[in-house]
Amino acid sequence: MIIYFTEDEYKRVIAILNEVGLNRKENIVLIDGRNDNKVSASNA
Amino acid sequence: MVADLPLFIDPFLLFNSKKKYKQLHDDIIKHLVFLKEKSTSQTIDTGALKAWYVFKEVEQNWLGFSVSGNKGSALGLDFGRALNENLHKIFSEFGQEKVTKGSHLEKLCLIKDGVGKDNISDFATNLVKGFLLDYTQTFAQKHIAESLREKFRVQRVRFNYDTETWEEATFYLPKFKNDFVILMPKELLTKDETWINKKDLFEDFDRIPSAIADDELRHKVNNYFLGRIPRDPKKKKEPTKQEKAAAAFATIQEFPELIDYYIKSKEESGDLAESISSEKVAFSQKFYINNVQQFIAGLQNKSFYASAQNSQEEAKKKIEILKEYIENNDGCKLFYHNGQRIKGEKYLQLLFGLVCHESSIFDTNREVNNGRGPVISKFQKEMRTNRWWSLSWQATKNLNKIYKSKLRFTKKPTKQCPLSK
Repeated sequence: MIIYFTEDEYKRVIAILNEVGLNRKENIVLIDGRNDNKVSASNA
Repeated sequence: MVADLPLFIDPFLLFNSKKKYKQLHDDIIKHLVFLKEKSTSQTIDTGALKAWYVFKEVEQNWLGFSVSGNKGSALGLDFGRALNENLHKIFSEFGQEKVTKGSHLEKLCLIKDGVGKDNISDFATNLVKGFLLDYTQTFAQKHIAESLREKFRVQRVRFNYDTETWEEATFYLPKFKNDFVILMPKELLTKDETWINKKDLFEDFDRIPSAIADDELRHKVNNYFLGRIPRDPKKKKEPTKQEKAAAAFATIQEFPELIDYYIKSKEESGDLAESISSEKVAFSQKFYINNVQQFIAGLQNKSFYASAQNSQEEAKKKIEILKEYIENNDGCKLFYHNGQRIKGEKYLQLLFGLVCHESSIFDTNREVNNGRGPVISKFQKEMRTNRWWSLSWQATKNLNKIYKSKLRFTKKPTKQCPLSK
């Protein structure tokens, strides 16, 4: 499980996962921890 | 209670509290005076060192630097030796300070390598333990149900200067897992660094000479300091932080009295220490208590803490719940306060431990792989069959390096590595 907090972190993680051939593997879970790209659940 | 909160006593806050806690600072200094007399009048053997100079960490306050649980490192013999060897040098003018208003234990960590804020805070906590126990007992009697309190015989409560031994005493205290709990007034606590600290001494060295009233000394210090900063007039390059710190270090070696002027400047801006510490404590309360409570409540509604039979299936299901909750149900608020994200991997580890400790599949020991990488949690039920999953919560820093190192490891099939399956 990998949590990222910015777009830049996301891109870097994807690049590294691609590099080592682990992108989209079932047992690698990416979690988006950003707070600037979500609508608050209470407002949704 | 799951883990220590990363807060600690700053002795300067006692010193600067005017009336309320000033006596506690005086008590700490009284003990230092006693130790100094012993250090200068007799040889301190290991027995005396252990009895007078070495303290166990007060674990029952649940504050400190251990990420899981409350077992930090004890105030050991090394600190005791450093104290014994340096007391007469550092505190040569107890009560008759010419530059500073008072004596400060923190001076020890400015002078002696290897003495850190944890040593200073543990020492202070031990010396004010009697006060803290009284404070806890009084608070508990008023606000905590009798069924949650018990009578405890507590060791090393206060020091008896007549018998030169530590006294025990009995208190009615809150109970948690067969041990008592010590409560702390928030005003005594801080986070990150004590107000008087080594990093600050070197980084803000430039402003110390201006605090020296003696013109001649100020001139000598300035000259010495500037002379040690490498300058190349052709390149017109500003000195780096490291170059400045090295020049500051050399200047302090040449003029050790500068440490007193540094402390004086910290005393003069002492009220700032209170407001900064209070902000830091409020920040910690928001992150580690309010955010975590809200997060756990949210996860409880999603059955995150319910158990399941198959651990691998359970792990999958729980990761899905966690992902969904963070991405689509305000769970990401756990990591933010006033728009600022929590920084530092160890604080993320702590948050994770606080959130997941009640989950049947998470192990609060987050340092797995024996230092191979910063994987910070594991699913313990599968450990024996080598089918466990890894979690990695990362801050931005070193992300590339960390993941490459982690993933390199996972590419080599070992019986411990689930990702290589």
